Formats: sequence, C-alpha cells, structure tokens
Amino acid sequence: MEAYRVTEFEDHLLLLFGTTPREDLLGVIQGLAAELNRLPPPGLLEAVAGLTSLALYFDPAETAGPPLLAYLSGLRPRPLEAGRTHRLAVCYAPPHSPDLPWVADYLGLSPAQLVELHQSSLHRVDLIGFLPGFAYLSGWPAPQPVPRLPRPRTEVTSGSVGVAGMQTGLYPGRSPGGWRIIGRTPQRLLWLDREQPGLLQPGDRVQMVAISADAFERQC
Amino acid sequence: MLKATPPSGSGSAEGLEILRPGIFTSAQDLGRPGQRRWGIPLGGALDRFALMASNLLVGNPVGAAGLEIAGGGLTLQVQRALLLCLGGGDLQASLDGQACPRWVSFRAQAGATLRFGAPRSGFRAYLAVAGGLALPSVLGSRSPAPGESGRLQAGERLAVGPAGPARPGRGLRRALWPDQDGPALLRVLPGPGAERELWALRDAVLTVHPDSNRMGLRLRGSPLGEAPGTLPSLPVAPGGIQQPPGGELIALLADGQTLGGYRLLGQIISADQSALGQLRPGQEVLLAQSSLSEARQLAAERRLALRQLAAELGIPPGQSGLDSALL
Repeated sequence: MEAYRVTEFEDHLLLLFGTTPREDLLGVIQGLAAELNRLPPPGLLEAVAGLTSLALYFDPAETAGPPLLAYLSGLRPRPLEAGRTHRLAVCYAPPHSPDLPWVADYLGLSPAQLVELHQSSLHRVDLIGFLPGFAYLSGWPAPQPVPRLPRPRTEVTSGSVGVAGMQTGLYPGRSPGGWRIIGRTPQRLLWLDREQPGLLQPGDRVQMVAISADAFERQC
Repeated sequence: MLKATPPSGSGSAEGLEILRPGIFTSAQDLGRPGQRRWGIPLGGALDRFALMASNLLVGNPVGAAGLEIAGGGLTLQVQRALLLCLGGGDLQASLDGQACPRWVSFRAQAGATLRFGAPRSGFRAYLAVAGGLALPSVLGSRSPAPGESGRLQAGERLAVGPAGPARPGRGLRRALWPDQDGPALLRVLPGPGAERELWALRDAVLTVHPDSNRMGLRLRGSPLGEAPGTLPSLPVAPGGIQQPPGGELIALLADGQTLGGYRLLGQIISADQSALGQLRPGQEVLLAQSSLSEARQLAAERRLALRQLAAELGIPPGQSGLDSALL
C-alpha cells in the first residue's frame, strides 16, 4: 500500500499520497475509490479520487475517521483494470471542431494527422469533476502541451471534446470553457435522472472513434 | 432524501408568485449529498440552520424546499392562504406594509404581498412555506439542477405541497437566533500541512469581495502573499478555504466545484458554515483555528437544538427529517 498522510475533518478524510502525480499511483487511488464506492463500509457516503489524493466523505453520526482508516488498510486495491473501456464516437469535422486547425498547426501536424493521433490513442479518465460530469482524460501523445484559450468561450456546446496541456476534456453539458475544442461526441455523458448520473468514472478507458458530420447528425 | 408530494387532485398549482426577483432568489432544500464523485456539488441552502429551523416552525421536515433570498429586493405575492416562516438574515421584510417577524410562523392571506428590502444583518433570508415548494426533484434535490443558477424571474409561480397541521405563532427561542452583526468569526480546521499558514492568519481582518457567489466567497486582506501556484487537483468540499495564486483566499460554498487545484488552508467547521453563508460583500471576517473535538461539540449542540425544537413543536422524529444525519 502507498504511504499517505491523513487530514481528518468533521465529515471527511483527506488522504494525500504526496504531491507528484504518477500513473501507477493514480491507478492505486482509483482502484481504492472504485472499491470503496462499490462496497461502502457503514457510514461512508462516497470516495472521491484526486490526482494524488483520495477523499472519504462520511456521515459523522454513523462513523468516524479511525474505523474508516482501519477498513481502508484492509483493502487490496485492484488498479485500473477495474475500469471499463468505452468507445466514444467523435466528430472531428466542422462545425464541431472550431479549434482543430489551430491546434494542428500549433503542434506541427496536419489536421488529419492530429485526428489520427487523437483517435488511435487509448485515453484514461484521470478525474471527474470541476463541472458536473466533466472528464479529464490523459493518454494521447501530443507532441507538446497545448495552451488554453487566452479568453475562455462563454459557451461551449454539450459533448464538446477539448484539449489543454496534455489532457483531453469532455464537456457533458453546455458551459463556459477555456479548452480548445477539436471535436464533439453525440454520446450523452451525463443524465440528471439516473442514480449513476455519469457515463465515465475515474480509471475508465476511452477509445475515440472518428465519425463524419452526417453520422453525428444521425446519432444526435 | 426528502420526497415531498407534488400537488395532486385539485389541479391548483398556486402558491407564490414572484413579482420582482430581487438580487438573487432561488428555491433551495438541503442539496445532493454523496454525488461528488460525479462532479455534482452539494448545492442547497447556504445557511442550512436557517432553512431547517424555519421549516420546522411551519411543520415541515427540515429538508423541504423554501426560498433563499440573497441580498433582498424580492417582492412576491401569496396566491392562497399559507403558513410561512422567515429565518436567516434580516432583509427588512414586510407583509402588506407591516414589518414581518423573523423566526416565527405566521399566516399570510391570499393576495398578500411580501416585500424584502436591503440586508440589515446577514445577507440571505429563508422563506419556509408549510407544505414546501413543490418543485421537481433532480438527483434527489429540489435545488436548481447542477450547472444551473436557478435564479427566479418575475412572473414565475411556485406551487406549494400539502401542508400539515402546524399553527402560526410558533417561534425559535431567542438564544438560538444567530448573531449576524459585526465581524464574523469563523473557526477552521487546518488543511494538510497548513497549520503555519492558518496560524499566520489569526490576526488578519479579511474582507468579503463583491465578486462572490454561491460557489465561493473571495476574501481579501490575507497576509500570506502569493501561493505556491497550482497543485495536483484534489477533492474539496463546502467550507474549504483555498489559497489560489494572486493573494486572495476563496471560501468554497455549497455550489462550489468538487475538485480544486489550489492549496487547501483549512475547512470551516460545520457549526460556522451558516455564518459563512450569511456574509455580505464588504463584511469583515476573522479566522480562528479550531479542533475536531470543538467542531463536533458545536455540531452536536446545533443538532440537539433542532431536535428540541422539533419536539417542542410536536413533530415526531420520523417526520422531522432530523434522523437523516446529513445536516
């Protein structure tokens, strides 16, 4: 088990596994979170994974830090393999990819090369958060980090696929956004009427499948 | 989670009509606990004690949906006779021109106009309605859906559910009225490795910046200076105090995001989060270090006060909503 430092608050524990993100560490954290959420011990509301951290939110009337930590120490996390793999249809064609030409140019690629690089990679869900259902993915070999827009758009359409740094971000709903949009998926990512509102969970894998603008319209 | 019954049979969806929405008025209950792993914030009333106590005073379970009236300026019309209670900040409310009492249930007749002025103390008033606002439930809560502001507009009508047998004139003991005058003192549990920073803040007088909303309050006047920049995103919760680059501090509120990339200085104790939700722009804030035992003691006292209130009002424990401990 990785070493961690515990900070105890009234209704949650914050476990910090250092401050340097590592792929194997992320796997351990996501494995623990998935296991805790699959079979929560008494009083645990949910576990939320960060990049080098894990939060355990609990009902203080039912449990406390020490019993949760004892339970945690007995867990054998099953890293990443626990995650599911999703095939996500993405239209990289206009009008769904307003920033694709700029990003391709910035990275010294042709638009076709950029699309090929992005869709041939197996992306991993690093985090869910910031906005409801927003997914941070890593795993595509961008030649260099992509800067965010100097001024965020006031509105990004739902399903937009953006890139920033070395990451890909999936916008489940309409929102403001500063990531550079290179495509859009017709797949719904968030349902506000379901018990499990999100399609993706940390540790899941995502394979993009390029589709045409016509196919996008048909699938919408 | 509370599941109020939508209005049935009669087809009457009457309750309240917004004539003037004021600064920011929204319908709120106690939000959506336990869904942060999907990026869903807690949401719900920023002053949870005010909503819970006001609900009990009109015979509702603590988690019924009511109105959160931020900053005042709201005018609404009562469309049918309703039992109401106002809690939280003093926004100089009047009912048909008569000053409206706080922390006590009263009956408003059909056609009555309830008008809110500017904050005299606190920043958010809560209007509980016997029967609760009959709004659709999204992910277990009648608060605005995640990602939506839920700001009410002129002309909107809010239906009210069936009321219980509660009576007017039931009040909250004076000793339980929150003190909302003067600088606010918020007690904080230190974040990971932030004991020294929190100690350095003990003499600072912070000021609430006007650029604050239901996601977070910006606090100016921190002596800590520049933060070390961004950190790997970590889970954050309402009451968290972040130190972003730039010198201001951010106190996260109920609509705040689920992950943050700034240093986490600490966590405001639950007993002081209602006071946090009542801060107004320009108000002064002091932070003091607390301990888990103090925080738990104060939380237990508050919970006991609500249980006693429910008992005084003859609301059985199974109907008060207080057995669900996520308060």
